[in-house]
Formats: sequence, C-alpha cells, structure tokens
Amino acid sequence: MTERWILKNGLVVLYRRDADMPLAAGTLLLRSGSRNETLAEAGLCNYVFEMLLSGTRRKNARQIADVIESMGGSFGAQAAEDYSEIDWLAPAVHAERVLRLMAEILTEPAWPAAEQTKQRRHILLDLKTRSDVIFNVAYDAFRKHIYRSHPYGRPIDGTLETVNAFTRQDLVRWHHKYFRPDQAIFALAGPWTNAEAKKMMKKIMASWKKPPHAGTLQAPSAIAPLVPTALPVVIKAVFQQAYFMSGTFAPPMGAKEILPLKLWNMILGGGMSSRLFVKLREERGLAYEISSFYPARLDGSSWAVYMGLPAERLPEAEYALGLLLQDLADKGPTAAELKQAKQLLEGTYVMDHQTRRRQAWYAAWWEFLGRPPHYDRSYLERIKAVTLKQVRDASEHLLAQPRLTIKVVPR
Amino acid sequence: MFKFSPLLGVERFYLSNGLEVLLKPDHRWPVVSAHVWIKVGSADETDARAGLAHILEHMVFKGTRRFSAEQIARRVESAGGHMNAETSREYTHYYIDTPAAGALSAIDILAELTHRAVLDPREWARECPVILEEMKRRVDDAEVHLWDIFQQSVYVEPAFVRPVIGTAKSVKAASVQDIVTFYRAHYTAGQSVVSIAGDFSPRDVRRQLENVFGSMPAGGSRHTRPSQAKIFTGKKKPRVNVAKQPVKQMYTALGFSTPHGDHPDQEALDLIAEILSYGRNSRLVRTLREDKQLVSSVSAMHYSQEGPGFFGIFAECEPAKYKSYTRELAALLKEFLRRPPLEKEIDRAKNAIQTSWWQGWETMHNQAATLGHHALDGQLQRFEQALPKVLALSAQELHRVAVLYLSHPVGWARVEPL
Repeated sequence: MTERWILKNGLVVLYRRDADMPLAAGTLLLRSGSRNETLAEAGLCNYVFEMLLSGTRRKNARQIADVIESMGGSFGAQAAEDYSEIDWLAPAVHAERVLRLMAEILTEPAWPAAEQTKQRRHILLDLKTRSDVIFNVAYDAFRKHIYRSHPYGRPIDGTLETVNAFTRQDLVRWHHKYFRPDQAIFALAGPWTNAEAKKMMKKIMASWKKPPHAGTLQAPSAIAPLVPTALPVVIKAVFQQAYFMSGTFAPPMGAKEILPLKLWNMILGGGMSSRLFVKLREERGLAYEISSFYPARLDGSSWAVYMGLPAERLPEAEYALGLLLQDLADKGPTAAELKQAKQLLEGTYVMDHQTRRRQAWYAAWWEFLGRPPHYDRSYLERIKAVTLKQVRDASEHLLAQPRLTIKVVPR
Repeated sequence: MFKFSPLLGVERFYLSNGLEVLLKPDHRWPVVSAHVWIKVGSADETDARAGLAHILEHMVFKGTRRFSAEQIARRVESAGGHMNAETSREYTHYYIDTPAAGALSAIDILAELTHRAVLDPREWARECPVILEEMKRRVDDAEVHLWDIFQQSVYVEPAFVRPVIGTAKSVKAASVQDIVTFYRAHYTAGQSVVSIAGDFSPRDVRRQLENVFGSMPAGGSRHTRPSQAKIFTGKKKPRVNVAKQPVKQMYTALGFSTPHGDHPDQEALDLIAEILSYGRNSRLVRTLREDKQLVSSVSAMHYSQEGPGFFGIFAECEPAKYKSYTRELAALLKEFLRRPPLEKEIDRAKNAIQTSWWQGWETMHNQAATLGHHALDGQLQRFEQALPKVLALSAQELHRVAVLYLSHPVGWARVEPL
C-alpha cells in the first residue's frame, strides 16, 4: 500500500514499504517539462536538468558525485515533455544522505559557468548526432509535422540556436519559476515503517520552502490540427535500411479514450501475436523491426506504426499496412483480441512493479495524473472494465483521421 | 545484518534424460520467469554454416508439433506474458516472463520450442529475408556495428571473429536440412539448463517439467570448449578495424585480451572496469569527459565467456577530438598501471557492484537468468562466491591483474563519419 502525505510546503509525498532488500529508491516529479517552454526557450528545461548535478552553493560537481558514488548508488536528473524528474537508487542505510543531497540540489543550485559551457557542448553534440539513428530521423520528422510549433514537435534537447543562446539568467529564471514544492511530487520506496519514512521525509524535505509568488505554469501553445495530405514526407539518408512511419494525432492523456486506445494499440502492434507482427512480419517477412506506439501526452498524444525494411519492399509494405488498417477500421478488433490485450496489459503492468525504482516511479506518476494512492489496483480494474464497443469506437475514430507518413530511403 | 546469498532457496536437480533444472521459489510478486539455456552458439559453427544457431533462435518460434507460430505467441500473451530469445557465441537462450498463473503454460511452450519445433521449409523462405534485414539494422546502428567490428579486432580464432548472426552469404546458403541437423545435434537435454524463479509451487512445476521436458532427447553430456584459446598479454601491434558510416561522431573501442571464463582473475577484471568508469568521479569519466572534455561518453567493461574474453574501453567523441582522446587515454592507462588503485576508489567500485547485485535480485527475470547462465557453464559454486570475492580483493591484487592484462591492447575499432 502506498501512503500519502502533504507537507506544509505543499510537497506531496508518497511512500511504499518494501522491506526484503536493503535498497531504497526515490522519484521526484516536477509538473513542468518541455511543454512549458516558449519557442525561444526550446531545450531550456533539459538544459536545467543537465546542469542540476553540476554544483550547489555548498558542493561542486565532484563533491555531489562523491556523495552518490561513495555509497554505490545512482542519481539521475532528466527532463521529459510533460514533466521533469530526479530519480535515485541507493542502499537504504544511506537514503537519508541522498535525500539531503536531493534537497540541496533542488534548493541551492549554483549554475557554475564552466559547467554550463561543458553541458551546453554535450547537448549540442547530442542534437547533432540524433541523425545517427534511423528511428530518430523518422520520428523527428514525424513529430515536427504532427505538432509543428508546439514543444512536442521538437526534441526535448531544443535546437542548436536556442541552446547556444541560453544564459545563466535563463537557468535561474526557470528554476525560480518551476522548482517549487507545491508543484512537485516525491515518491519513496524502502524498508522503513510508514512512521519512520514520514519522519525522515518531513525532516529533510520541509527545508524546501514554498516561494511567495503564486505557482503559475506557462500555458503551452495550442496544437494545430493535422493537415490532410496524401503525400508522404520522403527523407533521403545513407542507411542500409529504409524506414517507414505512419500515424496521426490521438486523444490527450486523461481523455476517456486512453485505456481503450492503449488496448487497441496492443492488439495492433503490441506483441508477437499482434496484427502487425503476424500479418506483416510472420506472414510476409517484410520487416525485422515492426511495431506501433502511442506516446500519451497532456496536450495531445500521437500514434504511429513503424518498421525498418528493404527500400524495394516499401510499396508492398504500405499496401499491406493499408489493407490491415482498413480491415481494423471496418470490423474493429474481436472480443478474443481484446481479452488477450487486457491480459497482456495487466501482466506487463504487474511485472513492471518488481523493482523499488519502478514502484516509486508509478506512485509519483499516478499522483501526477491526479489519481489516488491506491490507483495501482484500480488501474487493473479499469483495464478489465473496458468494453469492446469502447475499443471499436476509439479505433474507428482514430483510423478515420488523416495520417502522416514518413519514409526514410537510401540516398 | 542483511546477508546476500544468491543460491539460498535454490532447488537443483536433473530429470531422467539429464536436463539440469534450477528452481528458485520467490513469492514477493505474482510473477514467474522461466528460461531455457542451450549450450550452442556461433562458436560451434563453421564458416560455411555461420549463423545457424541464430537462425534457429528465429525458426523455433515459427511453429511446433502442437502449436502454430501465432498460437505460441497467443498462449504466452493471453496469460499476460512476454517471451524473447538471444543467441551468443556460447549459448542460445529462450525465456518467458509471465504472471504466475501462466507459469505451467510457459514451461510447456519452452519445451515445445526447444525439442518439438517443426522447422518448415516454407517458414524458412519467409524468415530468411527477416534475418537479412536484421543484419542491415545491425550495420545501421553505429553502436551495434562498433560492437561487431570490435570483436574482429580483439579475437583471432575464426569462431570468435565471426559475427553471431553470420554473413548474408552463409545465411542465404543455409538449407532447412542444415537447420534441422543443427537442431537435432544440439537441442538436447544434456546440453540444456532450465532455470525458473518466481511465485510457483515447486511440486507442480517439477511435475510439469517431467511431463513436457521428459521427452527431450538426452544427447551427450554438456561439452566444454577448449580453454587454450590464445590470450595476448605481450606487446604486439593492435589490430585496427575502421568502418565509415553516415554518423556525426566517432564511436570507438579499445580492447585487451583477457582469459577464459573459469580463470580466477575474472572478478578482479570486473572490479577494475568499475573502478575505471563507474560514475562521474571514476578515472575515465572524470579525466576524459568532465575535466578534459574530449568525449561525450566513456565506459569500461569486462566480457568473459567460455573462451577468450576481452576488456574494452568504449567512447564517443567528436572526430576532431579523437587524436587527443587516444593520447589522453594512453596516458591515463599508463598512470593507472604505475601503482595500485586508491582504497577510496576501490571501495566505491565495490559498493557499486554490491548495489547492482542486490538490484538485480529484485526481479524474477534476473534471478532466473543469472542462475541459468552460471549453471550452463558449470559455475554455480563460483557464482555463489563471486560477490564475497569481489569485496575481498586488495589493491595489490587489482594492480597485479591490471598490469598483466591491460598493458598492451590487442585491438582498436571505430565507426567514423564518411
């Protein structure tokens, strides 16, 4: 069972006891991510998080690393589209030290100039090398066309121009605006009793003061509707494979269609018995890698099928995929498929809870979405309750949307 | 005081056909992870038959005497489970992770795959292009391609130089008869290990194993591969492999020759890798990434197997910085070999390894995988002692091992921009 408290500073704290291994894991989520950036701020959230372990008023980067590494733990900070996150794992006996370090990093960042230059260089290199991976080439084009000027339309790293232009004042401003306990969630998994965990977290995390100004988050720009087009975007690149990606908008996180669509996506491309795998890989031998994915986002999700294949088989793949999706649109998934997808989703969910790191993450995630602490169990019940009609309606609606197709072909 | 004992609660026995079984009941989560390890990999192939072990890893999923390919997948996934497989030089490994209710069915499926596969010629005609596509994908992925060409720089024996996946020529040339012959020769009880961890009744599982694996052909006892493979610790000119790809940065690896997997220096080499690259304050990361800013990432790893192993240092850097990187890396290694590592860095690396073992034991998958892998090599007792041995290693011992194996690199590989 997950316990939930709200500290006086507004920080929501969750705790899950797991006592049979002397390990502790923590996840801190901030309710801000790249979606809160303006165009000129593209990549700023990521830059802030790349800088977080670079120094506080009391410790330099080497001393911060020394705290974690001396105990054999791990500590990471990363930005995502809808949130940003700190996560760590350490022997439980050292958890209090890690918590103190986390509080110091959150409240006293120093943004040292030399570290800014270094991290900026790493981010710029990351941006330049994204095109080394064929999936990135396809997906970056896909989201750029789907989301256009919305922050989801670009990598969370930002752009070469914006990253080059960031100053220390930008880092300070972002931190001042978004690093506040009343816009954060902290989840801990470890071996202590609830009372011990509460005492420890209250003692340490209460030092994070709520700023006097109100917590207003930057409103993201609206997502323009996808313009229907019959023409695919073709990218010529020097890879041995060709790559195909086709998809469209999907309802945002929190929409009632989310669970039916998750199940529908599982039926379509979520396993070795999915329609894509059976029809396109097993029966036609079209691709080694073939799947569909559905990254759910607060302001609007997307869904896409993707596969890596020989360039000369692109027309066949596109034709076969068209038939498969048309059949799915016309008839919808079967009751047997839905039953299996539910089992698979439930099974995957349960198996993903075995580590303390994932337990802490799920606890924070459900709170982020406004769900109660016991939602872990309710979620399984909600999966069971999805009806075939809900899945068919969601399928029909999604497949009626215009689709965007990206083809990466050998130069 | 918590005492970590990986063999605690493990039940080990043999079926009448010689199949070795390890069961680790663990009721913390309603999950079971079931694995079959077959002691056959690309090291057991010839040049002309390269890729057969990997072809089988694909082909057994295409249908068995009782189930079609789709039925196999449906049985696993309708129980909420997930299955996969991998092929290496020394083994082929199949596993199913499943909610506990699917455990007996998972064992049934694994038995079907490993001794009742149909290996239909029509299926091979369909699957061959998929494997050829997998090959292209390996080349398109710079990190994977680096790994492949790196093997060719650190090994000399054809069995280790050959890519596990084979070549386009050898895969196209494989006939169904080749595949069937390979399957019958190697997929036997004597050459296999089953390892299962999770929330199950040992009595029920044992009965199911006897029912479904009892008919697996006994075959001969498990073979061991010769341990006299060449290990180069003397000075020699490193072999250099370079691939030009459409990449924007260099992907590089430097390799040293290390001994056979049963050699007593294995744990010291593991700890040295951790000393060199665990965390921002490790020697490699601190010097090359943080202070001199020559690389975007750098790591060290020790790879051991039944046969020659290697110690590798992997890095990614801008092309303009490559020369400076190699110069600084050489200076860093020279300094590392001059005197024993510091107690502080040894303690840090030991703590990291201990945490990683504890963390690994959180999941049923890792428990079953680790147990099965070590049993396959006959290394279970050594496995039990591995962590205590790491924790007891002294600075002097680490220095001796570092000087012995890391003085002279045997191979360099890099993937660089066109």
